[in-house]
Amino acid sequence: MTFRQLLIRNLQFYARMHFAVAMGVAVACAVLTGALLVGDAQRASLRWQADRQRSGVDVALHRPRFFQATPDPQQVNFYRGIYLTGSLQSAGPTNRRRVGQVAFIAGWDPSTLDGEPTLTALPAMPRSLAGQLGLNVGDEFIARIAVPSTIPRESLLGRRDLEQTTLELTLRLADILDDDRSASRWRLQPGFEPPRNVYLPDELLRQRLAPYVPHLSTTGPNPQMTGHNLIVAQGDRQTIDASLRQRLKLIDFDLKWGRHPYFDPPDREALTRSISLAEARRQFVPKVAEAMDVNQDGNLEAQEMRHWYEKYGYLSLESHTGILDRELTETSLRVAEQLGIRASPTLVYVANEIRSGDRSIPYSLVAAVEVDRRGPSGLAWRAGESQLADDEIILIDWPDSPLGQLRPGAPVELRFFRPELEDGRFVEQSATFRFAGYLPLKGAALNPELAPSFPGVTDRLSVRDWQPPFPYDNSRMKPVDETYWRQYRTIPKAYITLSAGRQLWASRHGDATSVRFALPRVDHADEFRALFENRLLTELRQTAPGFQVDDVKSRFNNASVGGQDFGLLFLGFSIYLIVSALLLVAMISRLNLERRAWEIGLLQATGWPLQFVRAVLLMEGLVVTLVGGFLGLVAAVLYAESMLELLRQIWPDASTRSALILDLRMTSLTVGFFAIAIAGLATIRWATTDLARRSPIQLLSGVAGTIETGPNRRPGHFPIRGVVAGIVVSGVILVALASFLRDPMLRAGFFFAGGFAWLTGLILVFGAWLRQDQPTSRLGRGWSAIIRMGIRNARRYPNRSLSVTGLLAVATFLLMAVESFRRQPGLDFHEVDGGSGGFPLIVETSLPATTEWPTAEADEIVERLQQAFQRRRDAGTPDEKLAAVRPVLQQTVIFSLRKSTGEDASCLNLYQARRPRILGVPERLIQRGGFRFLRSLATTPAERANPWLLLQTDDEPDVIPVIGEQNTLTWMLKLGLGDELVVPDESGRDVRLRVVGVLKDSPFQSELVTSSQHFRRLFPNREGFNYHLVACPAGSVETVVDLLSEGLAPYEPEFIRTADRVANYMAVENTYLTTFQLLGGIGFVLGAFGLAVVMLRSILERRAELALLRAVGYRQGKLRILVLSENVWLLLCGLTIGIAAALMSLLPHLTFGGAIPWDRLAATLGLVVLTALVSGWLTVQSALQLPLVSTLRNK
Amino acid sequence: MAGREEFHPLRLTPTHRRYNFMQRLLSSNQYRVARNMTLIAEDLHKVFATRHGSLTVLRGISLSLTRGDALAIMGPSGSGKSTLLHILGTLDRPTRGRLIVDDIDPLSLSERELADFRNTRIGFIFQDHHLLPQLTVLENVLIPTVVQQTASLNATESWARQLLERVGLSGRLDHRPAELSGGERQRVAIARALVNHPLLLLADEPTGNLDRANARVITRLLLDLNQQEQTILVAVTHSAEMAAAFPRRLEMRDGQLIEMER
Repeated sequence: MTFRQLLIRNLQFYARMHFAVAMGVAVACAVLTGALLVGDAQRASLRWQADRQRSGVDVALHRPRFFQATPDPQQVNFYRGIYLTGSLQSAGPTNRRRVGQVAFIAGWDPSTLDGEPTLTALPAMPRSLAGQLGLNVGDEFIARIAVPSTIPRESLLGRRDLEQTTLELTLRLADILDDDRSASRWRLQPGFEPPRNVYLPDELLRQRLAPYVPHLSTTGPNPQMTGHNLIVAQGDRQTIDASLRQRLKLIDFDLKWGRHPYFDPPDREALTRSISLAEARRQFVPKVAEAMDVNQDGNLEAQEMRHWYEKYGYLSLESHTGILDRELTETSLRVAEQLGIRASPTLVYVANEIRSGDRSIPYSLVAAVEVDRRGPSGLAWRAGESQLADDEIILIDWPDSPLGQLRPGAPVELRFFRPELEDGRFVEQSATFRFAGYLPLKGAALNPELAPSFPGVTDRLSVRDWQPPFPYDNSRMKPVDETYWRQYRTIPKAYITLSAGRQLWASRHGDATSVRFALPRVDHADEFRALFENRLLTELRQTAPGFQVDDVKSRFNNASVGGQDFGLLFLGFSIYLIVSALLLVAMISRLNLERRAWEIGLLQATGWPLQFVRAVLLMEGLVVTLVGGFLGLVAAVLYAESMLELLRQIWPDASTRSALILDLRMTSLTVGFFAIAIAGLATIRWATTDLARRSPIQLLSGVAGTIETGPNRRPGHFPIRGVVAGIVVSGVILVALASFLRDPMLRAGFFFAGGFAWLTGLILVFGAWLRQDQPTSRLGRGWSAIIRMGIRNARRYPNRSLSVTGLLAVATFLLMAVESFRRQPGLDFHEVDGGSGGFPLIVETSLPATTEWPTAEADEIVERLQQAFQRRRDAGTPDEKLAAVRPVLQQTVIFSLRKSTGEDASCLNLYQARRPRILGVPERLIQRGGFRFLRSLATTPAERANPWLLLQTDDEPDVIPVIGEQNTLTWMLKLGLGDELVVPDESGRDVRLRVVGVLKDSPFQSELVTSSQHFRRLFPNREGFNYHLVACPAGSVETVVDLLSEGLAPYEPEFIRTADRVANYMAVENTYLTTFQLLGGIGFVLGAFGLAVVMLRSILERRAELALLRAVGYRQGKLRILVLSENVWLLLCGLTIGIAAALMSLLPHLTFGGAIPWDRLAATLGLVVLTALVSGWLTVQSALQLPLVSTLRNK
Repeated sequence: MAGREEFHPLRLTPTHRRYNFMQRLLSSNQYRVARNMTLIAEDLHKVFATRHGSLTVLRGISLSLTRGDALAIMGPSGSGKSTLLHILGTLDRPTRGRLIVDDIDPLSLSERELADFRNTRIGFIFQDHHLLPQLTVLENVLIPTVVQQTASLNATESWARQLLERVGLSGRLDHRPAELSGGERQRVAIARALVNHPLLLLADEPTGNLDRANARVITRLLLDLNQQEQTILVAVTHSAEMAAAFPRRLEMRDGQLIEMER
């Protein structure tokens, strides 16, 4: 006989007992490992998804504007293309379905990098997108594409009309792509919703884009746009970045040399001979040509032209955007200085009016220059003995000027539109200067090249034909203005200093319209340009603003880490289940050992050291645990798959559901197995500990389990009353404190803690009752006596009874109390200070509006509505309909917000968002305030009253104040109040986003919010408004949606109710809670199973007692009731204690309009009761079927 | 003694080395021969604390026995017979008094030493035979030898077979306890008690669950083996018939032992 043989015999003989323990271990192992596997599945799915989404692209450069540079094809395997956004509409006679947020791609096919067959038939789109539009191959559809503007749309001279900023193409669908193809799934940002990629013929798109981007287009009968705004490549970022930088040209920075009639003549040959004055007037500005004809012979000799431009000629560096970026200006000046060339920036602007007293000049160009005789402007005004001051203005000495004969010092007012639209609107402003003197129109003053060319203005022969993009009233132009335009063209009518001009007209886009360079020699213009260009590009290539290549591979990989670790979440959710399983293991182990107590006693009596006895038991436990662990691993795979399936079923975002795929990782299997093996073994060891304290005599008597009923019990020893009182009082205090808290989650947390304190108190009271072994009444007779006897039996093993009841009570409490964390928009959600900020509706448009839609007076909306009504041939009553529309719109206020591209930062996005989307709120909204703030960095009373004001702070240059939603900040971005998130701005520079306010239950969960002003600093080229908050009376939401869907139809609006959006976010939390409750429910069933095991054990121990009762005449029915009453009593006590304590914690939930899902809870609790009753019944049946005599004999 | 190396969970621990040293010391022949091998109990008292105060069960029991002695103790239920037996078998400790077995004061030993002491010097026979149902008859007899380091496996098994032969169960070696009658089970328990050549054989109501014929057989067997193995046999019984077969009888009354007349 050896130790090993004994071990094997024990394992064989007690196989059924061990099986129960192994099952408990298996459950714990399955749940723990399953949770880890769910986490693995999430990470692996995200990684897999991320790899598929980038389709082999390692780096990418996507710019808002077109450019021409590419990396060196000898060094880099790259593709260039066009990537624009917009919307789609099916063009069938009956089918007019629309889809927004579409990506239009041309010139680049992701199939090439993924090794799939390339796209041959274009246009093509994924099957899912075609399905949304109801399109088949050969069907027509309309593509509306937002075209990037060369001149910033929100600047004075930018084009804003939808027709001018949107390219509309009617196309026929040539191919439908499987959704699984790389072309269907390729995307630039990590995300879960299927990308809406539409692949267009490259040549067609380039042809149609040519008019919008003339400077990058070929000339001729069929011009084509030659630029691109997307480069994708394989390889490392640094190589591609360096290669691209080396090949950047002036045009890529939107730079150009200003057209000059002498240095860039239409006919260079003409400049070498004399030309007639009439011809010269056409080539040059008429008055300039006349001034050049020094000998006034009616001809302009080459010598005269050369002499003029040697004295007054200069080259100017300009931008296709109409304004030079500050950095470019400074770099140009620095390079000029290095080359020893005089250079000076100028800023020319359109004044709506120059007024002094009651006299004025309409629509004039005003130049802000460095007024220095030595500089290239070389201006000299009549009173110009000293430098021009910043508050002084010089007027052109123009014979017909309405502002002639002004005295020096006379006030001159400039009225002009601010250089940038304010929230999409023109704002006129004025500035008053002191009149400094008149500038004679000769020499350097005859300088039409100062003004950059603006299509619609400088290319028009008559002022009456001007078609500027700003409000322009040509009726204000008088004949003298027309005469001036014909004779002097763009020669400015007034001059101020550069610094004064910059104060008035500098914008985020820049602070100069040109940089002018004085040429050392007039015939060296081309050499100078080549030299300067070379040096300037060397400088610009070092920083290459806006050309930072994005490391797509790293970004997708980082995002695939996941925003929320499902593994940890499920571990948290499963903790009760794991603990329940381990408790069950402990309980069953303990019961098993109690049954074998005499055996342990015998071994000790025969001289086995206690350590040896325990070693045998632990070795058995180890084997059982290992077997249970292995079974658990198998179950873990099934469990993880079930949990993933559950998530797929209940996750609120449909696009995310299919992304979760099981991925078996050896690490998780190993960790789960060993963690539970150790925990299980520790549990079994704990179970043996108590037996080890028993004497062999006690163990031999076989009453180890009933020892607690022995004579040494001292019920009064534990200060139960004091402890219970303390716990209950602390519960009361917690609940009282909770009433004062504003944060609903914190409040729910306090109530939860208070409820838990009560739960503990009630369990202790029940424990004290169980240990009170003095019966308070006699048994009596009949059924009630039998039930009382059964209930009293529960006291026989108080520890067992308390364990089971406590398990059930805690489970009941958790299942119910978790309901208090279930979220729904509060009753005050639609208030201005509620979660919605008083906005019941959000409108997101695929095409950005460049003007804000502030109120019902938004003419554009009304006008479009009118058109819509007329289109529908409802012409009979358009006015009436519009009359009905106006009152509704008059009560409607729209706040238009800017929205950047970026990642969805909400909990709906499983990816880790590192570059969250940003919203820019208009000044009006900041002043209005509203929304529910949890915390803010407010220091002043005004900020405390309206924390939105914090967005106006601008203390540190690289810090942007942002406001975020609590859940997004805490769980997704891992940021707290005052924390900073570093993100690159549009040009690739790092900017710190500092959290200055935390919102609660707001619709801004997918993004961070800053002011429109800061937004423009971050994204100067991101123009227009895609995100609109609509405030309207609650009852008219449907009407407003109807009206706006008509009025805003061209922008492809999508209407979202804020309550729905917030509820959708909350649904994620609620999904977690549902999962927690479901797992809690399984734990609960486990508790019920534990109860059944305890009952079975108790009955087995009392077989003889039951047999005796049968012998003395108890019928089977009565015995069943006797046993079941104990079972039901413990069950009811557990449920009652749990429900009572949970109701306390649910008070806030119920107070704030919450409801308890009684149906679900009743179903769960019912399942538990049923399990317990059935198992109890079966147990009783098995005990009662034992033969009476032998049972009595075999005590 | 050289023997087959057996699985031992504590083999390499320092504690185990100390344990082996003590075991060798206590089981050395020189040590045994040099001492007068007796059981001496002096002034044993046992008091239990109860809810209603202390309960004195033994009141100054003194006893002296040598090898070959066989003593039957009778007395009514609750008189303290079993308590005395448990104290003599070192399963319980007296509240006061002294116990010397084989010139060793077992009450001064540590738990580990005491277990070894019990293993090598004391054999127990209970009213309920307490056979492990998962083991065969032979394995049940060998159970006390599993924790022994010094004994040869073959020698102990051979001795166990001899014992079973002597109790008349040589044909039932591979049977399970459930396949035996009550008398047979008790005979297995007797063999198990003797397998380690104990000095002291303690029997607690050994015939309590048996019919008269079996009780007689068991009584005879116990006394024969006592003589053959030169153990000190102490049996607690209610059976006058069994007590009558013993050369010496005492009665437990009011916590004291009184000599019974033959």
